[in-house]
Amino acid sequence: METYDVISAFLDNEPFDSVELARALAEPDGRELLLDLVALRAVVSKADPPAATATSPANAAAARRTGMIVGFLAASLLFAAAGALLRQPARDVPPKPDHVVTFDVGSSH
Amino acid sequence: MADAEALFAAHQAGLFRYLSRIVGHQDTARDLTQDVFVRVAGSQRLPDTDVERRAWVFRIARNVAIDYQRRQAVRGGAASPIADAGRRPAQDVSVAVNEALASLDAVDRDVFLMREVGGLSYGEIAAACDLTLDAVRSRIHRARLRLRERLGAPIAAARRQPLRTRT
Repeated sequence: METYDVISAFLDNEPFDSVELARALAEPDGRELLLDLVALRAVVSKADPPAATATSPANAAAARRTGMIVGFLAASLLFAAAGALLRQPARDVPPKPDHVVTFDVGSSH
Repeated sequence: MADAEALFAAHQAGLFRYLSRIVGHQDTARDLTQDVFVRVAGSQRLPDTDVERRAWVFRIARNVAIDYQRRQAVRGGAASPIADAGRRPAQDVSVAVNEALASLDAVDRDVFLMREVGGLSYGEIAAACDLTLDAVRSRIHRARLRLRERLGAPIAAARRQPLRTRT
């Protein structure tokens, strides 16, 4: 099957064999292909890549990782704060004495 | 450095368009275009001729894109141009083009985009991709035939409008 790649070379302003091009354009398929490839060029040039505001896979993955790290740090801080609060004695209750020192009047050592 | 900046400035737009199509996201393409600049600026010596320089810059861009796609593949993300969900109907052609490009063989897509959006000659593409001229010619044409198959409706619609051989 003829692929007519001479037509692509012609469209791209690359060197081509004029006899080969003439033969290709003598065929209805060749002429159709020429017009389709010109139209294809227009279609591709007008098509936009995905929008600039679209989240890329890399950015999305980074955002997911950042979210996980922030969540982990927040949970760690919360647990640490809760633990510190539990270990801390209540401030409005005086500490209980663990030994008693007594002084006798008039005595010396 | 000044030469590298001038070289990069001369090809920045083409590089960005090429990378946008390859990776499928303009934000990522912008970052990768900067990566290309860093590599160009860090080079000790630039190629001698304009043709060699252009091919060299696009070879760097291609390698940057391949590195990015490998990292994405490791992370399990999309490595090829993809269609965004939620696009408006007016953007259907863009989606179809992006999907059709994504369906191409990776090298065929590279050479096609270097030609179509980067504006490189077959010789420059051959140098950038380590291919022969015949291979470039064959791959570009094969890519076009494949895209023609997949984009029948947009092509038919475009044919109803006045056309130009150069856009």
